[in-house]
Amino acid sequence: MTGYLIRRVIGAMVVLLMLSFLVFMLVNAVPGNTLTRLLNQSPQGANLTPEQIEQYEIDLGLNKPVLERYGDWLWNAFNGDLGKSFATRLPVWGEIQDRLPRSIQLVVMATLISSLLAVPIGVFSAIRQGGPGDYISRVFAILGLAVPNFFLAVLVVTFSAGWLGVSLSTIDPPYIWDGVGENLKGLIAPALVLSASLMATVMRMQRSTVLEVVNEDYVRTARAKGLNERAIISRHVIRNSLIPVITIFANQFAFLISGAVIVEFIFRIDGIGALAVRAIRQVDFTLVLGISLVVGFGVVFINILVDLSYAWLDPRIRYS
Amino acid sequence: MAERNYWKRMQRKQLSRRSLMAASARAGVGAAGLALVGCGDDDDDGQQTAAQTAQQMDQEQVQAQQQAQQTTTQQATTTEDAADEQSVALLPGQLTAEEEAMTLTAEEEWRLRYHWSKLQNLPGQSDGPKHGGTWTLAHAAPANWNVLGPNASLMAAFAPMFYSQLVVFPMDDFSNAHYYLNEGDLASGWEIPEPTTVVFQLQDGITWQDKPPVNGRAMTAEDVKIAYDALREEGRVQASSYTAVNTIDHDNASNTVRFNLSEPAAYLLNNMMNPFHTVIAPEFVEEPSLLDLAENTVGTGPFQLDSATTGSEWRGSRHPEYHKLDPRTGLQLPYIDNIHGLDFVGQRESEWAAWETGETDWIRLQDITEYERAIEQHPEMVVQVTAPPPGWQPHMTFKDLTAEPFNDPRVRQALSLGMDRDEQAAGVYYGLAAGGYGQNWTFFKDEASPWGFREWPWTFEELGDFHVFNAAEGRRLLDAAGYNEDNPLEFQAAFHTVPGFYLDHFLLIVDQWQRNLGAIVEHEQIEWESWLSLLFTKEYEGSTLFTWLVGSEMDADGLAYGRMHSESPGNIYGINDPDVDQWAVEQRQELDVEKRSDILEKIRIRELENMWRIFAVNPYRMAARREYLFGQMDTYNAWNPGWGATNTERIWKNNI
Repeated sequence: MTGYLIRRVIGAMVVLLMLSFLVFMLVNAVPGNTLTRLLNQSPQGANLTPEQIEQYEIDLGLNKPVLERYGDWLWNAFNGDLGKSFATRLPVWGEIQDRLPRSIQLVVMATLISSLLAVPIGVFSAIRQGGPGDYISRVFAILGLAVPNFFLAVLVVTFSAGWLGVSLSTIDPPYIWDGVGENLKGLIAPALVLSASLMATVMRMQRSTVLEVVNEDYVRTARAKGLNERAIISRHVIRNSLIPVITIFANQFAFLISGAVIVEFIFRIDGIGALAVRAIRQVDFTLVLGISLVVGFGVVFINILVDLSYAWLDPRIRYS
Repeated sequence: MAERNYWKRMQRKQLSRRSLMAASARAGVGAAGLALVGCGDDDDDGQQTAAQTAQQMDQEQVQAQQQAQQTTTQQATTTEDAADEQSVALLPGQLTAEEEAMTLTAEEEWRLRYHWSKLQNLPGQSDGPKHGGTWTLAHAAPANWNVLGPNASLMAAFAPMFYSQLVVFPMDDFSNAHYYLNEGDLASGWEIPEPTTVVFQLQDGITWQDKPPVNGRAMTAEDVKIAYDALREEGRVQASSYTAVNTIDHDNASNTVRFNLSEPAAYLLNNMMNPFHTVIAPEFVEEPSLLDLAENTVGTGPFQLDSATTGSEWRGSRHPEYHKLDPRTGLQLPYIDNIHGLDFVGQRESEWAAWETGETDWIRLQDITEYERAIEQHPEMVVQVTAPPPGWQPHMTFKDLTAEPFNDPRVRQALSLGMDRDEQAAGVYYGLAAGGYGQNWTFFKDEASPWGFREWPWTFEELGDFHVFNAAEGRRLLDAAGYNEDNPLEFQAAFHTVPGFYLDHFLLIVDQWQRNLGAIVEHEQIEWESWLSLLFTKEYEGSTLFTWLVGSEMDADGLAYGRMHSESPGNIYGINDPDVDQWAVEQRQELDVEKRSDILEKIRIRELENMWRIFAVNPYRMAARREYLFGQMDTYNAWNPGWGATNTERIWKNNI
């Protein structure tokens, strides 16, 4: 187990290194930079001579070769310094740290909503296979998969304003420890929107795995031994059907993060997603890199956790 | 509502534009006049206060303003025509019976309906301003707040709320910002004892906001001197306005600041009104990068910045020791207690939701369909139709004016003649556009206007021989230049890829050139970021580039010298004409307004003969504000509220 863990951690570091290199190169491949964007957006920018623009580039370190800049950034990152945002001149880690709690909460809420609703519905749909409840839940699952969350988010914002007279995009939720009520008021709608596609995926997966498990020998044995149906479902079917569902959760985490980018942006939640959109729009190299690294770390970390959780769910699984 | 039928009216035959402009001017002048003579006690007080304030100002300027007001008042009071009297009480959106009977184009109708002067007639104006309340608006929350950095000019929409300047231009429901009248801000007045000296007398009792490092201390003349020295440092985007300034002296005892010039600078005061020429605390001059941070935004302006989250929101509150009274009412400024900006950039539906639910007090309306949507939800809202900013005018630039085929002026003239600008206005902008071209220039004199010049728009006919649509003449010119059916004119045209009306406009121009002139135009769309850079670097592959960035200062000099002098770094067009160079320098040094206008006219005529750039049409901008919000005047200098020093301090609400 320890050896397995060490190998996974080393693998994760290589992945993060490659990720940072790729993102750095991609961001540098984008034409322009923070400075040119600022100068070109303002007509007065043209009043500067090339020498003056060069001085600004030197001030921002943009005059160095790309690989040298990457090397500098990597060294600093290893030392815990993700640099300063080109646009705001604030420390990147500080910018991320301020927004991380809301984004984590949003993703956790979306995951919780998905699991709390989708797992029971999936089980119900399977054990009532072919019934009206099964059909209704499958229709909603298809809808959840078919409607992109950015579209759903726009619909929710628009119709809540038009029909309910509530502007969901100007609530500005505080951190949860600064006010639970106001926090939930601001995050519940985006969490629901974010959870829609995950809920649909989980529900469909749960339904199909339950259908598989209920036909397994040990379930038949349990029935033959006279165990009541509720106990069979709760003790044997659900637990054994969860492994593929948890894998889905892990795989969907990256999608959830990318979905959060759009949902946060539309609901104007000041989280990592909205920060990423802003960083990309401003061609803010260091901020894009920092966010990529942190999100990448999150995805890798969750995947390791999920792998470890298999052993808890199924004692037959051993790591070597 | 009657205006819903504008589509049908768009198809009607156009009335003479000149007669319409006359009607528009009558409505505007009349409304301004009535506001001055007929608004009861408040206005009497206002005039008295304005006079008191004026005593402190430069005598010559005061006389000019008083003369302008007298002219306006006389115009209104001597108007005997009943229709005109009816027009002066009109609200935004309303027309006189005479105007209703006219056959108007969409542009003409909307300009008349929503002329800025009608804002003075709004119910509630006569009650006078009230103090208190929060003004909430959709407004970007910038990443960087540095008013000395490369993004300084983008700060023009924020800086006036928090900082002060020596001079500003008045802007509220009673002041037409388009006139560029200089008004003291930190300065109570100024004099020009000789053409190369400007002495500013500072107001007494100015204090910095109560934030570090100045912590509410008194502002001194030395602070002002240090701040302006920082603005004119090499590398600052503001520096080009101060090239004629040799030294700046100060005298704390007399509270004056003296600008010593190497040559007369006719543009100086106007450029100093530019809302990003702000006075920063001297503590930041040594280390200007500190100004990047919102927490270091501290000035002597009407509000102090309390918090800002980039991309999300910012909040400000009244500067309790603010030094200014409203020159019209004599009341302490600012009127609003708090301002709250919500960043909706890229989140249009969220912005709409905030407007619909009453969260915000102001919204920009992108086009007619949004106007329809907004007026349906809030029929009581107040609409403003604003002329576009001079720095943003759709036009085509040439990569190289010295190479074939564009070194031949006949080719450029033909391309302009081949543009059907009316079709562009109707097809792309719902008819709400008019001839673009340097509309802040003092082009056309108008004695009836308090400004002395006529407001935009110009007719295509008065913009030289080549702004009208004349495909036959265009083809004849091309033929004379050697391009015909056997040897068609071929070139490339480039623009960015972002969908929207500018892209539609570009594609329509390309289509018009092909359709009307038989030219073969290979058009290319470039990724946005690249396109942004190409205008300045000229490194694009194609031979022409469509853009809307023109760029100007507050003064005509920005377009005359800044963009057209062969040695100006801002001359991104490659214009190189010795006469223009000479005139551009002459107009900079000519302090007589009339004579200077004549020189600028020569530059205008020369450019319009040569068509070094081809200007198309420029769309109006629409915005809506709540019926309880007053003084929030959009300006045609930028399509942002907050642009202009007096814009925010004179906003008030009557629902508090």
